[in-house]
Amino acid sequence: MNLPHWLADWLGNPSFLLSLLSGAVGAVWALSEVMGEFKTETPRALRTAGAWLLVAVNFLAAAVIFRLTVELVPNARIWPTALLIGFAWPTVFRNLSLKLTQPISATDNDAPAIRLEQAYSNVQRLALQLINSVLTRQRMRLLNRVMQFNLADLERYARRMSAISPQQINQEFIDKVMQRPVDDDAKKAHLVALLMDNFTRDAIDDFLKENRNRELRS
Amino acid sequence: MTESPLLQTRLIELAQQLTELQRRILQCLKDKGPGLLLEVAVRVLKFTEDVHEPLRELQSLGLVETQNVRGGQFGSELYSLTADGERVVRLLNDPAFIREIRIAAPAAPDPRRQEVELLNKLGDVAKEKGELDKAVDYYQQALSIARDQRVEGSGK
Repeated sequence: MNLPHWLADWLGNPSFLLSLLSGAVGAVWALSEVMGEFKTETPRALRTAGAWLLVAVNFLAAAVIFRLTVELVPNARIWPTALLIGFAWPTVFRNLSLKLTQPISATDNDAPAIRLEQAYSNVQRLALQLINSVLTRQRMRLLNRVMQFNLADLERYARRMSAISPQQINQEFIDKVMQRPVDDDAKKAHLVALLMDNFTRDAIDDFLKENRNRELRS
Repeated sequence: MTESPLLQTRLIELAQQLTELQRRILQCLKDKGPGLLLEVAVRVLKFTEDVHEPLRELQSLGLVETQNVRGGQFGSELYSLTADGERVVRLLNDPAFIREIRIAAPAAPDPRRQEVELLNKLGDVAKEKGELDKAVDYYQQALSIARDQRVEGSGK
């Protein structure tokens, strides 16, 4: 297979490959951040633009820092430096604060500065908002689908799940939900939220599969 | 990052004034991430109307923030912890801080003692109105409860 000329040039360039290595380590850091934040929802979170924004920023930042380093110190064009920069990106570089001026007054802390930490935290915040927005909409769509089912079926399912689960689910709460003088939709919403919270969205997917022939006709 | 003593003091004051439910809400937002009103309510085994006001208070204290989402009939605001909220949760998970709060918290009023006080007041009112038999009855009831309390207290 013939590679395009420019791609063959890049792949033959050790600096480029080392930049990729550095960037890959940075991307792994970003993935670990997503995993830490979204835990069981990680696979779904990774299917959102927000997660890839975070991964891309971390990848590019680590790769760019490596490129800058090898331009300044040509001897640093070795794989341990690439790895080290990838690992050091979140702990060292991201926490840098470049002060542009140093005021004479010692009490003046408002000197202009480029705070990488603040800049990264803004990107992180945006990424989290994007991910949360998508995941919430997905959960709401699921909730809406369950509204089409019978309350009694849902209650039975919730009780069964809590009975067979090693997790401690308060059966009293299910009783309270069922005894409330509110309409069925409000009861269903609370039961679904309880199931999703304790058994993840997969439990609701299972319920939908199990009861696909019992959907209410609205 | 180290926090300034001023910020630390403010956070301690905030953490001390939170109710038990508000602490549980903050903890579940930390453990399970952002959630809609319905989801937050279920996490603390309450209903939406029970957590709405505590969440609003947490928001006004700057510990919780909202993000608008298209949640439809289940709410349009996604609640999550702010940086201060995260710090307060850290404080609330500090055993030394919790011990301090428990010591500082005033003891809950004893309902039996309150009953004795109320019966005595009713007795005073009846006496003022000239209903002496009624007043004596109230005072005797108060006396009997107070004696029971003393017996229970000495039995402990």
